[in-house]
Amino acid sequence: MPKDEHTGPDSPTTSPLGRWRSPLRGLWLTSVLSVVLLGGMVIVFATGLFSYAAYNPQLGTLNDFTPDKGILGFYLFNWPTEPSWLYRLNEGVHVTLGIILIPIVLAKLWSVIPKLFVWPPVKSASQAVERFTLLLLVGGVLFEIITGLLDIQYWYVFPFSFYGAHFYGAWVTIGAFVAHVVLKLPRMVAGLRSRSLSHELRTPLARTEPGPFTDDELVAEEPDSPSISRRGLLGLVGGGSAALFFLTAGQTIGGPFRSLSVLAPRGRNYGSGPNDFAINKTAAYRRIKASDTGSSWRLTVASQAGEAAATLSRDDLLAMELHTYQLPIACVEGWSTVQTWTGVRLRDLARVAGMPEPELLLVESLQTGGEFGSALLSREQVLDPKSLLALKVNGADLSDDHGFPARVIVPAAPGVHNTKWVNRLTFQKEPA
Amino acid sequence: MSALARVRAHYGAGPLHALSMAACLAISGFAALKIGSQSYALGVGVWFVGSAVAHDFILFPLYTVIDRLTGARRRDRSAPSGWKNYVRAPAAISGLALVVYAPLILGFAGSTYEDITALPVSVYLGRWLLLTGLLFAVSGAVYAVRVGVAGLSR
Repeated sequence: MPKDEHTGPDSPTTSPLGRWRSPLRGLWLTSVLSVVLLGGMVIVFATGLFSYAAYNPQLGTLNDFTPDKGILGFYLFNWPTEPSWLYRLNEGVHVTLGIILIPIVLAKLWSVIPKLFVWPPVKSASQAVERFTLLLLVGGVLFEIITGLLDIQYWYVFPFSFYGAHFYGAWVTIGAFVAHVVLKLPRMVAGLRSRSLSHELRTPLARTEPGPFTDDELVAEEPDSPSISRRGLLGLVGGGSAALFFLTAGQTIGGPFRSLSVLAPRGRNYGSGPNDFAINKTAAYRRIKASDTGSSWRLTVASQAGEAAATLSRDDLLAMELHTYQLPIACVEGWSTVQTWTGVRLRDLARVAGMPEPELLLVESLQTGGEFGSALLSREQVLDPKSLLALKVNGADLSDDHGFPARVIVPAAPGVHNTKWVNRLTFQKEPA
Repeated sequence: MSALARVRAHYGAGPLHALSMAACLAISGFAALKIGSQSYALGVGVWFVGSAVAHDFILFPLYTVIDRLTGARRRDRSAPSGWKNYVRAPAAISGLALVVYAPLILGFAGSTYEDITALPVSVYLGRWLLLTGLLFAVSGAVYAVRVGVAGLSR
């Protein structure tokens, strides 16, 4: 530990705002919370970056909300279509784990908050830089949590694009996180060794004592007597995480668990009919007119912009070879739902367009405003036999809110790339 | 004095520290520059710093004051058992659920939620109140059992 950070009995960590009193604060408690966060945050970062790759942003700006990302997209790859639950798992983990880490983040910040108020605030150049990077780390972690929580609850109160801010904000956070881990890892290991976990888990309140006030800047100089044991505090934090897991995970796991997640945005039941599952953006919200989806609706299948190879009615499509697969819709917001879809294979429609080996597919819809009215699908996604232009779900016609007359279903694709109310498919050899 | 010792004396830490800081500032700085070129850059910056300030100077003092006002931090060692933690625990978990799902519970996103999902958002306040009641009831029951067991074994 650098000498300048040493605040032993000779230089008590008193703040101008008064003395810290908690008898539980200390390197051990902070280290236990840190090791959990270390593992958890690496998974949240990784699944977040995978989620960005799942949009196949390299196919074109239609799929990419951060086209000036440069080297930050260094890792991008063509997102696979197998296994079909890949995006469902990735996004369920990203959102649910992100949420259940919140109590641990709050406890960790509580455990180190005296350091925010150390006096004098800056003692050396190295400490000044480090405190700035800690602002990036704490601001970044909280920024990612808050933007994520607001987005999944549809409270679009922030003055920026969610996709861009959450993506670039994550990279600011990752930079600060890596430096923090490199610097503090030895201290965390020492902290974990400073007390025995199994011993602490057997220590009740009556035998809980404050940490020794030596070489541990987090320990209070004059602590109150404990009102909760260390195991009690850890239990409370873990209980908070467990509660958030039960309140959230059902919207991803589905089935009977969905309605147990009573506070989750998608812990809701629509009913028991074939079209009674989570709706993302109703037909009314997307201003889809009934007159456009009626008997006059036609699907244009083309191999180049402007030239139609075929114009198909819904009956024409129903007369083609139909296939049925059980596939999930998995949203970037973390929720998912598995349904049984029936429709025409996209690769059969590529043959109709006269381009059986396309490099990409532009899917367009009746939706004229807002995001994701159209999308680009990759060669792998088009040629996968399970990729459908779905006409039915669970044996019934699609409802208006689920994309009638026809919608795309691609295994393992982000939900918003399963475009609803499709009216044009343009198969292409290269990006337009 | 060696060159390394001089750097250490001026900088206040060793080369690993300097390298880590440089790596952090390079990665974070590059991403920050990308945000800086967006039209919404100022909004991101305000929310970024605002998130930390909101935690450190609003949420943290708020729950600390609530905890102190309820007297939960003081402990009389002669008291038979710590009932206060049986209030603290359900209150903390209920508060946590409220902080995480406030937009739904308090209906901030009201019409947008209903337009997007075709479901009413008003159910969440009742669900949270029920959850809170359930948490306090379970906690109270556990406390009662503990006191009862302690009384029997005395």
